[in-house]
Amino acid sequence: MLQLEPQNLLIEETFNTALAPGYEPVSLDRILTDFDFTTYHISTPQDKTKILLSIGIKCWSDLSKYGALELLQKKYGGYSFVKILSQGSCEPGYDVSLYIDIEQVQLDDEAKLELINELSLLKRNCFAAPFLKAFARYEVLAKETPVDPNNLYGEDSAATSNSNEEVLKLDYRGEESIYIKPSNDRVTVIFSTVFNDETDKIFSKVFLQEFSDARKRSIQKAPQVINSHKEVPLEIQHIAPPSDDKTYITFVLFPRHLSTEDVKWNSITHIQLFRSYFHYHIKIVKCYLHQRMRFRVQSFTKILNRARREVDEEELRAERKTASGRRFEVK
Amino acid sequence: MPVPEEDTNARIVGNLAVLPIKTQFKGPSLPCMDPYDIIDEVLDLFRANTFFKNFEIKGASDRTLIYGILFVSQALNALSPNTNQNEAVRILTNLSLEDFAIPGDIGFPLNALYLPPSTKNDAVFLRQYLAQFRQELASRLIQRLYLTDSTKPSKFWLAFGKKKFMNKSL
Amino acid sequence: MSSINTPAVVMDNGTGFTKLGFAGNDSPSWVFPTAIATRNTSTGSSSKPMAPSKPSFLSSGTGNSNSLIAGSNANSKASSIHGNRDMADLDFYIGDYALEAAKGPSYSLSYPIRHGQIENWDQMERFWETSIFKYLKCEPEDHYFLLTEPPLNPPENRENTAEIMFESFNCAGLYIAVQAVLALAASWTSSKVIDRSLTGTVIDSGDGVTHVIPVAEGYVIGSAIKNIPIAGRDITSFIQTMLRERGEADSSLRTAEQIKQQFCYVCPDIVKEFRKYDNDPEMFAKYIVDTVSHKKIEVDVGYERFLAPEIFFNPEICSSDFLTPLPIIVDQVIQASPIDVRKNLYKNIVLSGGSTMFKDFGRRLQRDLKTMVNERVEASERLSGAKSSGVQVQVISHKRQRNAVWFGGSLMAQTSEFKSYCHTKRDYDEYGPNIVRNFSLFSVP
Repeated sequence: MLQLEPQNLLIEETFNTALAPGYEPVSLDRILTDFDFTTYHISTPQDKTKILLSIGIKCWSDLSKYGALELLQKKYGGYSFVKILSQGSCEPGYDVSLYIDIEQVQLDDEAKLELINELSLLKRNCFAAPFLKAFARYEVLAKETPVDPNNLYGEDSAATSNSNEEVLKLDYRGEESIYIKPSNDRVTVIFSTVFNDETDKIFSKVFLQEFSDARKRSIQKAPQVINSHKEVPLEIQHIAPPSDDKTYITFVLFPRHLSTEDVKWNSITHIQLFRSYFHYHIKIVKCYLHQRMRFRVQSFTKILNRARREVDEEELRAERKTASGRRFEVK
Repeated sequence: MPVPEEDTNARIVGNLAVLPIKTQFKGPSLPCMDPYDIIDEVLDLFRANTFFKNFEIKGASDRTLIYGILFVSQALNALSPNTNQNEAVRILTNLSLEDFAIPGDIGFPLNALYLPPSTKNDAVFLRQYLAQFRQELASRLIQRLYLTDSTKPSKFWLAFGKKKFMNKSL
Repeated sequence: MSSINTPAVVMDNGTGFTKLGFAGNDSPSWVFPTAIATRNTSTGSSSKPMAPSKPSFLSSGTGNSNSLIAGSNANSKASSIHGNRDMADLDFYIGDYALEAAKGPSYSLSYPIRHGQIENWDQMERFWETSIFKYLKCEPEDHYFLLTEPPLNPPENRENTAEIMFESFNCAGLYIAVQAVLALAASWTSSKVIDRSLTGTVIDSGDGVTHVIPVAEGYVIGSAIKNIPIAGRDITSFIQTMLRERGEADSSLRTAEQIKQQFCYVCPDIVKEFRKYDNDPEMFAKYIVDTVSHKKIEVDVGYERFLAPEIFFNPEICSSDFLTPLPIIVDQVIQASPIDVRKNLYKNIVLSGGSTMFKDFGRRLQRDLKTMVNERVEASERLSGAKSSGVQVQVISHKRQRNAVWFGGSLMAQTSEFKSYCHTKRDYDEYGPNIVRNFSLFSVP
């Protein structure tokens, strides 16, 4: 498993069964989770054919500030059988609820799959709002001050880099945050992340070095990646307090990554999973190392066993003495 | 494991109980007063007992039962899945009357469990009784096999022919 | 760590199946075979060395996986640390996908758990990794975990588990519970259970083996445990043989499995049950197989409906080396336990696992056991002349039997005290793996 999948398999499965022909309605009451402190609750509070899908996100207040609700409205509002409940009307303890009347779903198979897919991407859709907002802002800026065609290397021009453009900030995991800053020729996304484990910090350094190196070598199309430890990147110096144990990773999304609607969504899908992806890979590298260590230990044990001396019968039967001089026999 | 009830009044030849049976066939058996006789018992216990490889013989009537169960196995194996009822009657009548071995004979497979009859008269008597026993058993087995369909025997019954009760067969 | 509000993860890794889910739910979110399909090293590794953790993420705007792999492949030679490492350690499947992948030539299938205990830690570590990140979608740093272990699991295995959970995954907290104890806890949902004690006899019958485990006040009485080599798999193959002997149109393992689940039940007396079928042809059932080619095949279902589960009570039916019926084993187990808990062990016999789901399984067991116990009580009364106060025998069936262990875990892990019973990452870092040798037992709420 190289990549983490953006959709939630459990939601996908729940709706796959619920929308399959010949589904016998059952009452549901399930709690599920997703990365970054996201909790789902799937239930059938009133009627077995009406499924309530609620989502609770830690940084919902930030997301809603950047228009998450409107985006969900756009995504799911088109379906007449999906009711979007928020604020006062949604399930207590959660941030948004989708109330889906599965009896009313009359779609062909393809549209059904599309719907199931969108439902399983609920978390991604919520997190997409600030990115879309930043992308929109970038488009405006790009029109206002077109990029100098002679500036082939994307160097910062004095006019744009320190502009007082608003930085969008998501405190998606409490201490850790995402910062998004649009400008006229790029969108900068900065992650701050904290490692609880000292070894993880070392792994992360190696990884991040790879990220920066790789781009130099061959994958020129990739967004530029800059990482820094402890040092707060320039873009967000005015809003992020300096901190000792934070690592900052900056992605620079170029116009290439924002060209069409599909590409935009793809960039969003990948970039918002970055933190989980990053931590996931650090963990599986440790798994791999453990594997190697076990292998090594095993081969050493084999060698040690080879050196073990065969104890012959004679020796075993020989008389032994205790410290006090008493004799005894080993049987 | 299901075990038949012991009937103490029956005559014993060798160590096999000659139990009365309800029958129209000619033979030395005493008329049976009980509506439920040894033949019914054999047919009821047959299916359950074929699964068992061990069977503790507690009395002479158990040997009659074992003989009956093994005969049913033999009978089922003589039929094929599409034998009709008339054919089955013919096949099984032949089978029950053909030259068969009785305890003590060299060809009898269960001589380890059965004692030979002590006198020649007893042997003749036993042979007559077993012939009658086999005929009646075959006839009642056919009733059960063709209960629902007279063109072919019940496949559920037929499948039991493949099991070997006590790992033995007649 | 702000893992206070996230639901605890409950993972029950059994020999045959793994049950995954979150505390508070009434059924596991995922149930799949504890199987892992890994790429055969001979074919996979030599040709394409690829670096695993390349910055392939976001490598291009289109981001399809082909370009990702191509990208990382192209520069793997230059890679500084992962130069000669291939992606074999990431190329594997678990669960149903593993069974699917193993049908091809390039993957080999293995089961990392044997007889309830983890045998292959490499594979198990990867199995957990995918379970957590792909299926449960959670960051282990944010969650507490409840894992299960078989009775008599060596403490070294616990330590290994802890090492993986804390060092690889940095999980926030860990509790390892004995499966039998969780099964007892799961039975509390039954209305028959009044006192919610952790004393009882657990009959856990899964796919491969059946265990009878006495538990006294939350502790397993290890010396008295008995195993029976008869379980779900044997019942299925028994049905299959019966179908074959009868020459049914379809006698595949799947069909046998389906018949087992849909039609089988336990009868009070097989001879009488045969007669019932003679008198009532309705008892014969029909199972319809949907084949791949959309043909419908009808399979008649006959005496195997009650004969198959009967092998628990009369093992002689299908096996020649193991002949002791289940009720006698249960009796022996309880008789081998300390005398002061025996009464309570008879009073609270709890069923767990899929193979105990047959209708009237509990009733038959209770009846057979009661007969045995009453005979003994009468005999002792006759000999001693004293009147016995009697022994109550009660077998408890409940709705959550199939995933009883998981469900018990879910019940335990949703209590507010659960986290205080866990060992945390900080404890682990402070004291080392041997802290998991002991877990305090749950007090009964």
